[in-house]
Amino acid sequence: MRFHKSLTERISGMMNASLLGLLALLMIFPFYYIFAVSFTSYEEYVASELILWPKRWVLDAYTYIFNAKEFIRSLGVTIFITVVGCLANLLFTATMAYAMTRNIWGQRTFLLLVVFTFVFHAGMIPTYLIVKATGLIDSYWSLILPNLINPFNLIVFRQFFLNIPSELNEAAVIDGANDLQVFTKVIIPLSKPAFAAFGLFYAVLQWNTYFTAILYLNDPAKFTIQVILRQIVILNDAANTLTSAARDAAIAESMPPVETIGMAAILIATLPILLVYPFLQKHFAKGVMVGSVKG
Amino acid sequence: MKKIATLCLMISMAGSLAACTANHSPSVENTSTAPADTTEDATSKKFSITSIGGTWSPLPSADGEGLKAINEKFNIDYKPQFVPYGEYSSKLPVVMAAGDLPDMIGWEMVDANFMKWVKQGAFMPLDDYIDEFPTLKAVPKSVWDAVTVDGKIYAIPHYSPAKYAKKAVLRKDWLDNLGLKMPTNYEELKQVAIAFTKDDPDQNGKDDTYGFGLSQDIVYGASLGAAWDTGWYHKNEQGQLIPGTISEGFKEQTQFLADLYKEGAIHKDWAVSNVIDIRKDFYAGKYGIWYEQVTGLDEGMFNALLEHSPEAKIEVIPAFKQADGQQGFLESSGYYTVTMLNAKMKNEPDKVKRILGFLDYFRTFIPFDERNPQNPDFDWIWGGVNRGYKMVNNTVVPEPFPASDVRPTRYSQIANWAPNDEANEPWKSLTNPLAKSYTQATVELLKTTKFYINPVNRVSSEVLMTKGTELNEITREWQTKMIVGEEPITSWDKMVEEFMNKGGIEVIDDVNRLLQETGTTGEWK
Repeated sequence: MRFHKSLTERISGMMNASLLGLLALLMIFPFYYIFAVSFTSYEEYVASELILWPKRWVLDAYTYIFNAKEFIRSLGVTIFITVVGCLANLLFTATMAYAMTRNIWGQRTFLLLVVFTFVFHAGMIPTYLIVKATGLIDSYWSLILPNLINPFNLIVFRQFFLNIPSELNEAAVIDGANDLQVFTKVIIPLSKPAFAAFGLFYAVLQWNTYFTAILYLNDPAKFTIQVILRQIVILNDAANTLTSAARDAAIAESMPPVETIGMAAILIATLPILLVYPFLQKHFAKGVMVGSVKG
Repeated sequence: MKKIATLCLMISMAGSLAACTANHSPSVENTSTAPADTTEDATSKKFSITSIGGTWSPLPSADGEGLKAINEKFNIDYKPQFVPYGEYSSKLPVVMAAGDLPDMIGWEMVDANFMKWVKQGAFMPLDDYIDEFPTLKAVPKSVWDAVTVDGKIYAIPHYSPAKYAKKAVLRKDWLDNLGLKMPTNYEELKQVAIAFTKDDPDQNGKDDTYGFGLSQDIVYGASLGAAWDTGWYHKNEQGQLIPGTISEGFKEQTQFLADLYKEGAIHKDWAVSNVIDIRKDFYAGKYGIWYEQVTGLDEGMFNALLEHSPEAKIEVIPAFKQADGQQGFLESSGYYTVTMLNAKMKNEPDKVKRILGFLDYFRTFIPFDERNPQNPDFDWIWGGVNRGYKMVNNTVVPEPFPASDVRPTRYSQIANWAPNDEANEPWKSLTNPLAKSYTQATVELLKTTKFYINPVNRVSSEVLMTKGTELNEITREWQTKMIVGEEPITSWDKMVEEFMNKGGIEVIDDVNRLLQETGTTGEWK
């Protein structure tokens, strides 16, 4: 039997829809603007106040970017560190978090050490010294290893594991599984939402690698997409606002990339990571724990 | 399946980790320890030279042909490292602290960090070498003063025109449309700005123009002469020089801007408007008065302006006559970026000379008319005609990034030291007729204009360097409030009081002490 929605319900539904629609529009508009400007010619960009639909669609900005081998290479570098870094992050965070749920010797001390890094950071220079001493300067691993485990993610991961009924573990042990098998056969399959969520967090973090790349890498060929992107965008700023001297220095060496190129670069550098979201969406909502324990 | 994947991942990680460590070359980190070899001929010995510096341009690749050409020409193994300027100020202190300092170190300006490193003995004094290199000898004393600490020169300043900082420009065609003449004082300027706002200067029948372009943080303000600028020009009752931002001249300028704001000649949203947007709007024909320079113009903007206003004309407003009878602009520091040499090279004079010779070569000025394939030095520096650059209508057009790495200049990133500002002839490289005529006329105007050498640029006051930014923020905030009418101009003394209490007194005392010690005064030239 169907009930008719009351008037107030309908009104509140409409208000919700329009409010959320407006919010969504607010979020989408900057992306759309970036998209539109990236296809606009520079002359049109300068002459118009706000570009919503280019009068003439041009591909100049994209031609410039895809001709610059640095841009494509840095995209490759970023994809590499995102994939490898994210997998490594998950592997080490999950295994350590799992160990932290077991009743083993020194567990509490290690947990305390993890929490300790929440509050106190070594700072930029000591970390640099460690990276240098371990021979990681100018290596991609300097971008991955120092941030292998995020303490906050570890704690949440541990909490997630603790919520898995211990009866499942016991059942597996009775069936003859060892610790590693319990982890891979029972815990991981039950923790897909956690892996999806933290995998995404880590992936976004790795994708945005910027400052550590500047700090630890010396060879420009190894720079990540964010460094190159920022170069292009900063160069625009330099071309527009800096003192004449800085501007001279900026343009003396090459043609100044204009705003439209900056927009195209932003789009290219954002799209790949944006595309990851829809694929992980379903895992966030799914409650895999339902029905796992009968009795 | 999962197990296999994990195993593969671990193996590949371990493998690439090992590969990366194996490739790690120790020579990058420390090359300056090679003992001075006095038996070998100074010119035939190959030196390994490392450098670090900031850059605004796309980063050059580590194996460009331009780099190979430099190595061959100077018989060196040059390993430059460039860091985007946005992050360079964070990276260099870390590299310094880790003891990885290369042979040559670039920095954007003389600041508190520079002073700290000098005091720590990181850089070597260069006084003994200067006379040997023509482009170093050509640096005027006022610029050397800026990099001198306790009587010793610790850095090589690189050229930047002292006269060509941004100047107030106006739309001459609007002025003619309204039958007005070029303003010669603030009152006349105010009338012009108001007329530009209210009298339809572009004659399109719409009320769509503003007289004066002002942006967030009062980036350019409205200084039409040294007395109204930020330089240390005025004196207080004790006879000490004071910064322009708290002077009577600046008060007059602030009053002027407040009046314009009241009249609606400044956009009501100026205090939250980005300088880029205002600039864009000026070239879209919305503002009558704005700021522009003569070197490094963006011709795209001029093209856009001419497209919708073919009659447009832009002229610099000449400096106003001051109450003390002087008339002229504030000169800028005359340099941009500095290069220091690692103090470890103190006992390697041959290597130091090789480095300075390398810098000297790239600093050597080539007049505009000789910038062509017939000049062998120019052709080499720019990577060879049709490789690093093209000649189009007798003008050099650099091959764009990334083909640019065949140019040795990409790896030096050092400006020519021009014998004087006029020698740059900036209009010659321009193609837009408006940009060309504006630039040429401005260079002519500034050639005969007097300039005040800002004495504060010639001393290195650590107190000023540490407190300057904060103090500027205080005055800027007060002045923003005064312009929009939130605070009356009569609050000026309160602003000065806050400035003094928050460290202004110490700054003024320290700067004046240094000026006295070095015998530096503010002078016109």
